[in-house]
Amino acid sequence: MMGVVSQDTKHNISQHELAKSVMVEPEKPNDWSELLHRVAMHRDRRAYTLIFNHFAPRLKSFGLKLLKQEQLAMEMVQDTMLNVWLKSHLFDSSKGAASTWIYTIARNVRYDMLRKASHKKEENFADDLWPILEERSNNNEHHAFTLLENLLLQGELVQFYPVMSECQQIVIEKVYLEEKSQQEVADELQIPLGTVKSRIRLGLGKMQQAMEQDHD
Amino acid sequence: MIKFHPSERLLRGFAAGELSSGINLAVATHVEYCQCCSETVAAIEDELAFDLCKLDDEIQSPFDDMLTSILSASDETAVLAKDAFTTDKRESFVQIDGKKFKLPRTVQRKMERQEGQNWRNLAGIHSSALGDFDEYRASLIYIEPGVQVPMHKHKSIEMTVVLAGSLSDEQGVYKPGDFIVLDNNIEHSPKTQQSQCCLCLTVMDAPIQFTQGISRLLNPIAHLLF
Repeated sequence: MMGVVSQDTKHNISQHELAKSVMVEPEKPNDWSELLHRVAMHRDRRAYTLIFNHFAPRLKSFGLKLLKQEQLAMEMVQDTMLNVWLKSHLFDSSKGAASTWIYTIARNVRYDMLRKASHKKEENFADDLWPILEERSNNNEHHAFTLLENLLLQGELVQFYPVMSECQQIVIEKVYLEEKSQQEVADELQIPLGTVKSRIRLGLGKMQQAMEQDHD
Repeated sequence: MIKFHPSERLLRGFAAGELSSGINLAVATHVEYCQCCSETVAAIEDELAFDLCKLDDEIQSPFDDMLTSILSASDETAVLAKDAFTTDKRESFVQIDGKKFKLPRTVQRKMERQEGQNWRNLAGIHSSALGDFDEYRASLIYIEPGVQVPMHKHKSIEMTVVLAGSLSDEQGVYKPGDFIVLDNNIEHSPKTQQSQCCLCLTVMDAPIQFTQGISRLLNPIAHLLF
């Protein structure tokens, strides 16, 4: 087998195979995910090098289009690829292709560079607009409930409280009405932080479900 | 259910990161609320990533140093990066007219950065400026229940995303997440119901027009909207 990843072996490339393989680029999008996964799990330099060699030159062409200057484009490549190296654990292959993840990081880096170059005082950071590099625990589940949370805060969900367990209700009341941080709630109730987080998530999820059924 | 969405052209510009900053803010806020547009954006990002992979890669050699320097970033740095976000985070709320709201991520940090929230009240319409974004100005607007918003004009365009409560005009009723675009041809007089307030994000063209700087590199707005 010549390539690192052939058509039929996208799963579990052994260290041994990698070691004896020559540098050949993957042919399918899934293969990039596999390589990225190896970087995340094992800090695999060889896998990273394959990713780097494929994307760095292309990212430079991409960067040049809007940034115009060679130096800025190279800065964008460096920043993007450093993020790929350091934050590969944030890539979630169930959410999309590895190439898309890398593209979105580059887009965000480029956006911030363009903002910086425009010398505007505004602070519209790419991270606020496209949350690509947020830790997962802090990501979707944290933000998906904004609509629901606002109904909750206006007291419009009182009729749905009973769908939550009592301990979920207590935690949600403390975080939303008493404005305590999750850690404070954990300390007060003497339960792990993770339990607080999951009670909030499950409690809000139940109310969301109840509300949707109510609308149907 | 969210009924009013940005055009596909706007979503495309958003996914490409090529919209003017103010419009980007409005679209990003809608996308945060709207599952359907968020999926559309993800699909467009896939296409753009595919285009990226098709770009030429002739310029290989100058990247060796870069690769070396990245790989030398120690694993400890990676661990630090991993832990950086797991700090204890308090939900952030905005209080107005005796009510409490949670803001979308897109404007949360902008609001937190402000020293105290500067709400100005004019006949039941409260506004708090978030700042200038290219040629646009963004504000949070809170409208008390039972208030009719007077006509107002802008040079070209105004975008509104409803964040909480509801608002209605001749076109319909707007609920949280709805994205409303008005150009200078459309006249409307939005109002809130007797028992329902409304919190929204508005992005409108600022009185002063910026003609210089980096914004000329971005796609012209008119082209994207029509």
